Amino acid sequence: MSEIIYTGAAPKAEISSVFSSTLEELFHQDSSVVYIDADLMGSMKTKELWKKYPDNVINTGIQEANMIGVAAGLYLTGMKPYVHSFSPFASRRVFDQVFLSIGYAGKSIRIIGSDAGIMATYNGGTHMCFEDIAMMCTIPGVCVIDVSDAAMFRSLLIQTKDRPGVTYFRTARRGLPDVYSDDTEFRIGEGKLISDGSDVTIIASGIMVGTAIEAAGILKEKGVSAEVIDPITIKPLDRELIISSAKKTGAVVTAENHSIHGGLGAEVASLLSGEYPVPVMMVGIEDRFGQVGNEKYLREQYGLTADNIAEKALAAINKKR
Amino acid sequence: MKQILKDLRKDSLLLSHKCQDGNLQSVFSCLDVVWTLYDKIMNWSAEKATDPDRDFFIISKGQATLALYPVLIRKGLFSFDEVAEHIGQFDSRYCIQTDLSKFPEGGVENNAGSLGHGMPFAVGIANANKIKNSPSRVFVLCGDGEFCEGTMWESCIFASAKKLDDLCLIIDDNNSVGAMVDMGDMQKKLDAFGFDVAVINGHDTDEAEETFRTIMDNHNGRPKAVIAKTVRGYGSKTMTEHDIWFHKAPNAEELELLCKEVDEF
Repeated sequence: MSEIIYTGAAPKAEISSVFSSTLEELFHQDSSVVYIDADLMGSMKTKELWKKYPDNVINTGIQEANMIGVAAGLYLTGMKPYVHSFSPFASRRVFDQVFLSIGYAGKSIRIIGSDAGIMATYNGGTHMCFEDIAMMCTIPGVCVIDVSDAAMFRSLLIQTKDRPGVTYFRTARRGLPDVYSDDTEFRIGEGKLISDGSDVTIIASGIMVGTAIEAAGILKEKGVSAEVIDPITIKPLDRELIISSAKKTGAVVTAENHSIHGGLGAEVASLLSGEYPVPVMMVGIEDRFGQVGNEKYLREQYGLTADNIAEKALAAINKKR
Repeated sequence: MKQILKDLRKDSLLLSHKCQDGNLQSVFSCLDVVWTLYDKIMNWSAEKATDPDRDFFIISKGQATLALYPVLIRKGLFSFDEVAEHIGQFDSRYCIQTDLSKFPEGGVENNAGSLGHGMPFAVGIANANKIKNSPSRVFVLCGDGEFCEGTMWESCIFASAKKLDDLCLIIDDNNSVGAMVDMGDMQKKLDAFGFDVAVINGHDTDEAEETFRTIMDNHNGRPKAVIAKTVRGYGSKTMTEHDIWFHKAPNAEELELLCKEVDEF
């Protein structure tokens, strides 16, 4: 049994520490698991792990493209690579290597892109990646995961150890409130119905799941019943859950910490336009680059707020035929 | 030129004619080294193409794939007739740039085509071999022009830092980079990156064999690099003189002429 435990408070454990402890768990479970980083171990708090498991942890230095090629070679000899960098460097900078040396070559890898979207905060525009989901979704057979909380991150890191092809996690490194209880089970392609509703469906991923829960609260005060769904994996998408919810509510709003071009919203709209057309409004980054700020400021700048979701939800309801 | 090296070249020409594709200048410049590796140096045979402790050959300069197929044919991985029958067909596994996804039973180790990918991949294999204490060695064939790619240098740094002395980088130095940028002294550059470097005449198979044996026997923690000085189109007078053969397949008439030139070389 699982329950939704979201309060918006600081999490029990930060994503970075969950990453370390989960990798350690994996090293014990399977000695062929290997973690490679392009010198962001300090940021991801994995330096201790490096000292403790020199055969399972590799630091390539600041060379992300080579890191992906090396991971492909490690896989060929039977190892199971998990690689990490900040999301722009784990996706945009190495896309050709991921696409060809891993995807097309039929290798298996897990890529963790941290500081996804606005969570790059003070590092600003060069580090603020709003396009990783769009790029990664074009790789045949890819699994794209927008991490909503630590329980989900841990569960899917373990579960994808032997998954063929490219598995891409995008995640915050810290400050991601808990959404799911520790005993929650997650599966690839299986979304979570967070709350039932009848007037509108809010489909939100990653840092926007909590915000969507808050938006549903705002809508409830206005007498609007909103259903909230976390797709867990953006690709593959839980088609059944999304189509059945659209049939029930007749209006959808998506919310993501990513460009509205090629992200969760685009995937949902693409699905529904063919299967069950209903109005789909999108909350996400609207054709803009990143900038410096803290999370609160950036959420306001880009409209990643509960108020904006609620507003778009009402607009979607108004567009119902 | 030894008869086998002529025969391999003629196989390349026939296959190129058959599929109407190929970078024959590049194929002819590296063929002698590729043959030496498979015939004299590598712990590899068609029967143990999936043996985890085999030696690996990674063709990073994928445009020379037509140099690899004739060698693998001679080594019994597949037959000439089989390759000649299918090469050039859209669904053929004998692509003009190797495609490992079409060789689940082994024998072709990488997907070639996008430059700068093979070297990092080879370094990863060599690194894993080190971790696993495998006797396997990794030979990666790169073009001199390929060293314009940043990933080549990234992987050189990493290979050196990891003391991958069972890795051998081979540069088919047919001076193609001269037309782009001045790479300076590659021998000094690689030495500075921590490699043991040898420079050879890439068309002298005896010198190549001797060099590979000596350099790979030196387990001093330094990765190895062999710069093979070669000539684009070596083995055919026409091809060495006309750069149109960088990317051109022979028609029936040209095939006859080029085969004759190879015979007379």
